[in-house]
Amino acid sequence: MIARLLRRRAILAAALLTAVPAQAYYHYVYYSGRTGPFTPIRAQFNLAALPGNTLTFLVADSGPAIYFPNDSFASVLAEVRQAISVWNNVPNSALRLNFGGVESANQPQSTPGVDVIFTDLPPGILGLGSPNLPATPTIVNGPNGPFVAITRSTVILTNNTSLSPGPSYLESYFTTAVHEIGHALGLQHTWTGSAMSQDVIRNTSRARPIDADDIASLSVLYGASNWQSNFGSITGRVTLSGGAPVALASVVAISPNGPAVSALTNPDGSYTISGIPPGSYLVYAHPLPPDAILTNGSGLLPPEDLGGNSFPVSGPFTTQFYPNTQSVSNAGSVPVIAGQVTSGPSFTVAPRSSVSMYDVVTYSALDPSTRTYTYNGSISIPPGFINVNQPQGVMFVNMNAPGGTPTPQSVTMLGVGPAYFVQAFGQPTQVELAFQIPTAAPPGPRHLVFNLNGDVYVLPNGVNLVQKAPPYIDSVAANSDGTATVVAENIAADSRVFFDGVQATGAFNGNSITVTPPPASPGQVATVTIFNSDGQNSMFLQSTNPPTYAYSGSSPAFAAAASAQIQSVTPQAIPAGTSSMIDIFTSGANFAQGQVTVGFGTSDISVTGTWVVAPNHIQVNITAPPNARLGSTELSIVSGYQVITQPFSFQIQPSNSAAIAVATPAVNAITGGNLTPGSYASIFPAYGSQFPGNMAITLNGQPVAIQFNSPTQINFQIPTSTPIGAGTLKLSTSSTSVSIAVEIDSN
Amino acid sequence: MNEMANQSHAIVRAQVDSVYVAVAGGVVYTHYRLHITETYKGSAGAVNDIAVPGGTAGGIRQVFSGAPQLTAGAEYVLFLWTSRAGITQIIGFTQGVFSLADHSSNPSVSRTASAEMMLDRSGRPVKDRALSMRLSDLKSQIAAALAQPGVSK
Repeated sequence: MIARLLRRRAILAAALLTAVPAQAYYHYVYYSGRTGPFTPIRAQFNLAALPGNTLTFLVADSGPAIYFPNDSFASVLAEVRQAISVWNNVPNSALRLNFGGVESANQPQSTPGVDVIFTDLPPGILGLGSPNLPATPTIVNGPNGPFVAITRSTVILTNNTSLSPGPSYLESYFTTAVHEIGHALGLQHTWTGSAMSQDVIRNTSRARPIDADDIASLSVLYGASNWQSNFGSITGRVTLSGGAPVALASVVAISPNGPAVSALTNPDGSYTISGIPPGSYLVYAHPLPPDAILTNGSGLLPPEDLGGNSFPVSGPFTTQFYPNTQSVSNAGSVPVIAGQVTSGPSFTVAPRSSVSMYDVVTYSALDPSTRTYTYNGSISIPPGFINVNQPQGVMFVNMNAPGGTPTPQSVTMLGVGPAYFVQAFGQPTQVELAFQIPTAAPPGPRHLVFNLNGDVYVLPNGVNLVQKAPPYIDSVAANSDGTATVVAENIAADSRVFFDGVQATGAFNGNSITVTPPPASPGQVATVTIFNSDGQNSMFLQSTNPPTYAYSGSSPAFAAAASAQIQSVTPQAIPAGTSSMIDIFTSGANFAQGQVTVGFGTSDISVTGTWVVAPNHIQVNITAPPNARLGSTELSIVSGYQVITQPFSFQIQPSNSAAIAVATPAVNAITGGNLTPGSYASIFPAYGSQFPGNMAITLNGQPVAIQFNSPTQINFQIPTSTPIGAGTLKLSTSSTSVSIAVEIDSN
Repeated sequence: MNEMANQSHAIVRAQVDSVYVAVAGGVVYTHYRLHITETYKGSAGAVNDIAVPGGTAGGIRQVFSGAPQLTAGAEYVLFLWTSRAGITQIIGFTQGVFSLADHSSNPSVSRTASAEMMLDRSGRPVKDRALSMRLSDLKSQIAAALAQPGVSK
């Protein structure tokens, strides 16, 4: 205890965060010179070049060439959209992500965006993602410091969903998409088990698709102003005993029952871990595994100078906890305070000829008959799961070790304690572990510490604690009202039902969930999966014969025609530098409010609002910047399983100085928020233009009372008789007019 | 090895003669022209151009993690897979690349481990491992793998 107190006292001056640049760099990093001080210059999208800070993702309209039976393009799109949504919802990020529909091959476009394409990937490759880095990097100065601009990015998914990671309804397809999109946004690999970790050590799921490390990484690139006020940072240095700096060491702040957030050291051994949630952390430095950076260029892209010359990477060393101990029980606690930098945790490490072990895979053995995790179950579930309500907490470990697989002297689960059973077995050697877990242990990922002979290996998020067995679907039955009842075991209110990759909304009823199946055509057969918030899903037990739901032609009121089509698009073109409402009429669709996504096949057109007027009628507001590439684009509508596309159905025309460019949406003149009957609305010109004089304004065909009129703002009153819902606001001069949709909410 | 040998359309010992880049579907591919000196599976000379995603073209540099870069003049044993579109790629990228230490008749060969998760036929996780051996041993392993029942020759 005395030693612990002394260690705590030895730690750590806190300084205000604003003085220190964030240096977590599992990004694509440049330095302006070969000598220090080293301030990372990261590759990232330029928010100033994105409309509304929004990055548009477009999916190749070809889709995969080969599908697993019952798999579909709609399911693939649903997974991609959900993966986009994961990164879009990162708190504190100013970057917004948007699914822009499908695109034709070689679509010309000038606004930065991300293309999701499908190609033949060789066996063993799950997916790929890369930013388009400039061959000759130039520095752009932004509000968060200098950066190198990514102009566009590419995500490659398999062209054949009958191969891994498909079919698309499997969780691995979704987590692969999340990972590759992370690369597209400017993130490289990390070693904390997060979404951006190498596949072998990744522990993410549909329930927890990204982790604190991913959030920190994205926030460093795109954090909104003052984002760091909610997080703390840790700075320090890693050196060899002779004082030489260790470059590209990974330093990890790890909370025994919480997150792990990491950074890599600069060429001078300095590091800053930014974006750490407040709390108490252990901090350790470890060498990158030998497959992290390879001479053949297949691993992490090391930092470069602006001439394209890489910086050297230090060799292996002995992993250490702060303060310079290999014993986790002797590790000191480092406080992390919101808005502050904790400076001090530095490491003096000893070089080694090779790392002791790396690429550690944990897995559990699930018994299909008892549906419990046990020592001899026939179903392997990586990463490991332990049910705290079972008497034995058994799991297995598989690893790479250059010197032969070591048998750990002990293995500790942080926040729980040491394994009471550690046994090597088999050839190649694996390790069996057993833990006594308190039944009161809260669910969630836990970190493992392997104590080796003279070294230590830490596997963040190496195991998941759960409080019940995996969900198991007993039956899926259609109801006469168009809903379906999914009877299952080990479900709760947190359970979510997916039809292929599309989530079905529903209500939990004890041992069943009644859901509304996503709209689909008669004859569609969907694979049904239940996902629990603890990371388990029904595929753990039912992957060989998953339950399905067949859309019949008669009962579901939600079924749509087999071949829905676009009937009309009005107008069919807008000039660059303008906005407009577009009316889209279809046949055979069955649109429902909130379940429809409309795209125009180019990142140069942003959809700023969507309204379902009728089952076959949609209105959208769109806008195109003045520098939009001219030409045809592809219109697409996604609703449930329906993907309706029409190439060459829309045009961007040359800018027209006489055209009215109005920004969307119209806003409440008093609150800046929603419009209601009787409220005052403000509209503003778009793209730096000015409103023409003598402009007439009508709402739903009725003139409105203009309260204020200037070239840069017009205020008017929403008539008290205006119906709730989408209204059509029309702005006219003697020579031109434009309409936009406005949402009128109830008072 | 068995699975890799089975899924390969060709397994060759080859020297990289030249390198060029090309863009297809918005993806930069680095192409390697091969001089094949031995063929362990597939037709001799059938494959002399392989593509690896990533590279620099048109002012754009794409970097796909996991995609290896081969060195002109260097010699390799490559496990190759040809797509329906006719593009030949390396199985598992790093997994299918064995570097030869020199141009002798029986050099040492080595390969790094793949960082991708792999399962065996029963669905159990298996760790791909870094390998180092003599070429003669690798050839023996390939021959043994190809002799297994059910493995395509």
